[in-house]
Order: sequence, then C-alpha cells, then structure tokens
Amino acid sequence: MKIISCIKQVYDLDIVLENDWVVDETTNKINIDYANLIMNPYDETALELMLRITDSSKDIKTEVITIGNKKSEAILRKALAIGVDDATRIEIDHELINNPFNIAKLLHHKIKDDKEVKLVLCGRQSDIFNHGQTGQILAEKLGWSCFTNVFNITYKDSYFNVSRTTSSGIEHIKTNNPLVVTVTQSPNMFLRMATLMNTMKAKQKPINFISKELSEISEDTNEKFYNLEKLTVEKSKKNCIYLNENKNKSINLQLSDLINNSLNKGVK
Amino acid sequence: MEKTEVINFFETVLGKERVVTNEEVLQEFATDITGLRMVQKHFGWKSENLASCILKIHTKEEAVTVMKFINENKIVSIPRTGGSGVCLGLETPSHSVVIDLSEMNEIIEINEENFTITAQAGVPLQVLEETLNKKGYTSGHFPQSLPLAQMGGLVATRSIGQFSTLYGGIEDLLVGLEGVLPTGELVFIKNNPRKSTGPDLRHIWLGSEGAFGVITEVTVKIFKLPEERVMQAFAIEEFQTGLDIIQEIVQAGWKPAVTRLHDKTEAKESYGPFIKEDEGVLLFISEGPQGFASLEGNAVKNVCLKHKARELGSKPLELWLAHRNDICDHLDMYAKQGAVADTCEISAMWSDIGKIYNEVISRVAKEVPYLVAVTGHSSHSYVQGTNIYFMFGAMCAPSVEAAEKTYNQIFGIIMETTLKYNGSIAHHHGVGRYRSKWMKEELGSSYEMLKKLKSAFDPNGIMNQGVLIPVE
Ligand SMILES: Cc1cc2nc3c(=O)[nH]c(=O)nc-3n(C[C@H](O)[C@H](O)[C@H](O)COP(=O)(O)OP(=O)(O)OC[C@H]3O[C@@H](n4cnc5c(N)ncnc54)[C@H](O)[C@@H]3O)c2cc1C
Repeated sequence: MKIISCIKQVYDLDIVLENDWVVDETTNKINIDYANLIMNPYDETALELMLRITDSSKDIKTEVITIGNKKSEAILRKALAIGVDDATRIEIDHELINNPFNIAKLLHHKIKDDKEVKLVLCGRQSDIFNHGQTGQILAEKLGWSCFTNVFNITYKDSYFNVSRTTSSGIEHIKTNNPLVVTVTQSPNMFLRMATLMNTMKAKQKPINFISKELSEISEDTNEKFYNLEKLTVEKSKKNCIYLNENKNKSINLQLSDLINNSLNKGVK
Repeated sequence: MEKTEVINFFETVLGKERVVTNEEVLQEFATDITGLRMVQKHFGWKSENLASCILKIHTKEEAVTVMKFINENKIVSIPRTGGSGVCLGLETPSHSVVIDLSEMNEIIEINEENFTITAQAGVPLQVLEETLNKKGYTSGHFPQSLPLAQMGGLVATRSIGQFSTLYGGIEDLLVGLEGVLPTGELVFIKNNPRKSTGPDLRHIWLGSEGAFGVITEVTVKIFKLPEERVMQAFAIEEFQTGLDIIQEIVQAGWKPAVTRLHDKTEAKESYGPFIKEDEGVLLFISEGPQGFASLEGNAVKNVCLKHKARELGSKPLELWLAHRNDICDHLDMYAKQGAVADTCEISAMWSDIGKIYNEVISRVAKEVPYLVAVTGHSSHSYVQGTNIYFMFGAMCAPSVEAAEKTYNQIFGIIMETTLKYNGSIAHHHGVGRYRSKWMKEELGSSYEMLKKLKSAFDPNGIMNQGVLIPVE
C-alpha cells in the first residue's frame, strides 16, 4: 500500500510586514519576494499525519508530490529528510496552474494509474490563493470518497479512521479506501524536525521529475483558464476596547451588546 | 516549624488570598522556562519539589516582615517577578517559599529633570517602556523577553537588551535601588550620577539572582526617543569577517545601537531571499540626535564595504524590528515537536571569540547524534570583545532522562569550549542552578569572594539556595 501527500511551496506570510500588503497595479501582484519560501502549513500537518500512520505500519510506502519549479524541491528534500520514501516534482508553467481545477488535473494524472495508492492527503487550503478545492476536485476525478477538515487519521485492519471537524462538532469515521482527505491544522500538531544528518542525506536522494504541458493531459483543450482580473487588499481595522464592570451593566452584557452592535454595522 | 504554622503566619501578614497553596499553581511556579524543562514537560516531567506556598507581596513593609520570619525559621525562599528566567533560577526546593513581587507593579516617578524612572520590582518592562514612549522617552533596554520580564528580575539577572551597544546593559542603566536583605533590613542605594565611596554596592544586587535578598524598587536611566535612525544590512562570506568588521567599528569609537552578526544558518532561516548560499548577515541600527545617526551610519558602511560586505538595504532590519520578539508568543514551539532546544550565550575577548564559535559549531555538529541545528550570532559588542548567542535543537528519545542527557551534552560542549578560551560562561542569562556547576572554573580564585559575600549577606543560606553557588 502507498500513501501520497500533496505539498506546496508558499511564501511565509507571517513574516510579511503590515504596510507591504499593497497591490502593484501594473502586475496585479503583491511584492512579498523577501519572505522565505516554506511548506504550506496545512500541508505540513497532512504530511505529519502521513508519517504518523507509517510510524506504526512500517510496510506502507510514502510519497510526496509537488507542482512547482526547481526551487520547490526544497520542500521535497525536507520531506525526504524526515522519512518520506519518494518525492516527485511536476513542472509546469506557473501561469497555468493558478486554479484548483488544473492542479487537481495534474495530480490526478500522476496518481490515477498507481493501484498501490490507497490514501491521498492534501492540505485544506494553501496560504496563496486559498481556493480550498484541490482535494475535493482530485477525489471527484479519481472517483474516490473525500473527507474535508480532517485533523487526525489512523490506519488499522485495512480501514482508515478519520477524525474531522464539522460546523456542529467532531466526527469520527471508520472508512474503506481508497480515499482523499483534506487536512486542517490543529494546535498541537507540528511537522517533525529533520536531523542535520538526515538533511544532508536527503540532499543526495533522487527526486522524480515530470514535465508537463497542461494541454497534454487536458481532456478538453478549449477549457478556459482562470484569469486574475483584479486583486484588492482589504485592510482589517483593529480596535481595542476595555470593558469595566459597572453597576448598571455586567461585563457579559456589555460584551454581548458590543458584538450585536458590531454585527448590525456589518463587522465580520 | 510545621508547614501549617508557616502558612498561618503568612496569612496573618498578607491575608489568605495572597498566600497561594493551590498545587497546580505551585507546579507552575516550580520552575522557569529553561529549554530543558520545556521539553521535559512535554515528556511528562513534573516537579517533585513543590514550594509550600507563593506569597504575593504588595509593599516593602510586607517584604521586610516576611524576610525576617523566613530568616528566623531558616526557610529557603525564591524571589520571583516575570518568571522568564532561563537557567533554572526559579526552581523551588521542597518546603521553600516563593516571594512573588509581580504585584508590586507601580511606576513611582518619572523624573524629567534628572532623566530617571523609578519603578517597583514587578513593573513589566513593556509597561515601563510604553509609559516612557508616551512622554517622548525610552529606557533603551530591549531584551527579547521585553513582553515577559519585570524590573526586579531584569536587575537580578544582569540582563541586557538588543540596543545595548549604544545604551549598555542593565548595569549601565541602573541608578539607584531599594531592597530587603535576607536578614530583614530594608536598604536603599540613593540616586547619583557617579560616586567614589567605596565599592559600588549596586553590583551586589546586579546579577544577585535572588541569592542576596529581594529587590523591591529600582531607578533606571531614561533617554530621549531618537530623532533619527539609520538601518543597514550587509551580507558577508565568512563569520570571522563579520567579527572583524564589528571589532573595527566599535574600536573606532562608534556605537551602533543594534550591532548583530548572524551566521550562515541563521541568515538563511531569517533572511534567505536576501542572500546567496552560505552568506552570513550583519545588521546595524544607528540612532540618536539628528545628524548623529547618519554620521555613524556612513562610518559603519565604509568599514563594511572595505571588508567587501555586500549591501542589502534596510529591509532586513525592518523585518528584524517587527519580528524580533515573536518567540515570546510560542515559547514551547520546539518542545511540542519533541526537540531539545535552547539558547546559550557566552562572551570572550576579540582574540578568542572566533575560536569559540568555530569549535562549538563543529564539535556539536560532530558529536551530537540527532542534532537538528546549531547556530550562533553576535549581538552585544564592546571595545574588548563580544558575545556569541548559540541556538541549538536536537531530537532524542521521548523521555525526561534522554532529554537531559542531550541537553547536558550540548551545553557541556559550549561551557567547556568557552572556558578553554577564557571566555565567560554567561553573557546575560545569568547562572541559575543550571550553570552553577561551572562557577568555580568560571571565577577561579575569585570564587572565594562570591562565597564570602554569600555567607555575609545570607548567613543562613536561605536565599534562592543553589543559584550561583551549587549546594554541596
Ligand atoms: C524568549 C526569551 C528571551 C529572552 N531574552 C533575553 C534578552 O534578550 N536579554 C536578557 O538579558 N535576558 C533574556 N531572557 C532571560 C530573562 O528574560 C531575563 O533573565 C530577565 O531579566 C528575567 O526577568 P524576570 O522578571 O522574568 O525574572 P524571573 O524569571 O522572575 O527571575 C529571574 C531570577 O531573578 C531573581 N529575581 C527575580 N526578581 C527578583 C527580585 N525582585 N529580587 C531579587 N531577585 C529576583 C529570581 O530569583 C531568579 O533567580 C530571555 C528569556 C526568554 C524566555
């Protein structure tokens, strides 16, 4: 059996300075080139979940796939350094893959004929674009079941046990395979660290490489690609209000009034 | 004396609500945030030595009464303010008493004629700084723990801030002080710009780590907020070149408030997109009255260019300013990943500091089996030398014992190498209980002076027993 984790390289948005969230009108981009490139945090959680499955079932093979340029091999090497067996990079013109449909199509093309694969993990969304649809479209194309918002997954007796959050609580599901899950972050789940020695070893490991023209794999060559027409940045206003206990109104009441007033004014 | 009698006494002095005996809180107060304990807690560590109680002191009079009682009854006590210490200085021996001064938190006076601020021991540095900023002043003291540390602890640990090359460490900032001796006398060192009246008694308190009494109030210098700031970063190929550049700048008489040299690993992690493979980064901020900063900035730039450093502009500094204290929001981040991670800062003369850096980095990389990373930066420079702030992380088997073994191995290499080159084993975090085992070697023949001071001030050996001088 094999498990695949789909990972993506993104800018470390935590580093970006508040004043730099400005759209360049000519390029329709925000210049954040000074931020380091890291693994998408949701994908980190997905990858850690994959490794936890193999911690207890050693005969399961693992693979990471990324779509990106040569630079994105950094995240594949990181994955290899923490114990993933195989890594694949799919290279394609970046402009063609700014939408989840095409990304899912590329992933589908890579995964569909590998009968060993029983589970594919994707991050719930990536820090760039935030479409949050890749996993679902991939499942649709593969014809597999899909669970979203997953925060834990284990494997026992040929079944996967999936835990996911829903708007009304938490679901624990025992499921057959193959399946796709999209993983959400949970506060105490961190991607394990690579030792220096394994990082050095991972530098020497081979990375599978697939170069693709999207048209090569498109069933419908007339398909329209997404075109980003306009990008705007909405600056959220922060405000701090101190509530003091007073005789006429408890803090609880003051707080609920404040929330209701804000909602009435359209504050999100 | 029975524990209940002790607690009864404290309750009469302070009131029931200010004598805390809740076991969960005692457990929380049983240590500080030393990296070793952080990861051990993740592996299930709990202190077996809880204090009998925590005393929430509000006035100096209360401190006097409490100290007299503690001394008469020979109860070991641990003074505490922000709790951000990182050397096991706050570990509670069993049956000890924690003297918590964090609720003595009033700013008493800002003196705009003499440029001083007087504050109680529990005033958080961040509050002090923000209060000063509103009036156009700064304390000039910016340790990374600014959001956590409080005035008493900052003096008691001989702390230093990130802008120290200009403003100095706390020893340069402290003007006067009030404290209670272990035997219960309230003592006051008055405010003067300088004096020649025997040994400087402030230095008994600076770095005292709770072993010589309790600091209740401090007066520190204030400065006008700078009118001008010049920020510039450079890339360099060799760590030693960075050290040479800093040495030349400070020995020429310049004092760029922020003077930092990050090695290639740190540079890649924090400033990756600015640099080429294997480059280190130098960061400088010059600040002061109009005209001064640009003058100094030009001089700094000339030295850097002479040594073939590559200009990176001011953006790396903007990022550093915005993110320099982020770690305070997720202190247990590495522990949660099961990594033994911490920092260790040492200092040495210019002739030796580069050797210490090289030897530590290569020994740790070679000898520590599951090392994740070991890095270093220089962040506080002087005419005679500088510090290196090592940062390390290593994996280990998930047990309290394995974590300790790994931690001791890495720390041991740093301490050993530092002493080999006559460096100092602690530049600004203090000694606590963790580094006290190296104090004899650190102080050499002057270790006797420390022991004599301790027995003179604290004849019963009750004050934070085990810090500075190990319990034999
Ligand atoms: C993320 C992080 C970053 C840090 N960065 C820096 C830095 O840049 N520079 C630096 O110098 N340090 C730094 N530190 C270490 C720490 O913040 C300092 O040692 C600080 O001065 C401790 O102050 P505190 O109020 O938290 O003291 P505590 O932790 O409460 O106590 C520290 C020691 O001082 C004694 N003590 C406390 N209050 C008193 C008192 N009123 N009278 C007598 N003794 C007392 C205690 O017994 C203990 O031995 C850092 C720590 C962390 C966690």
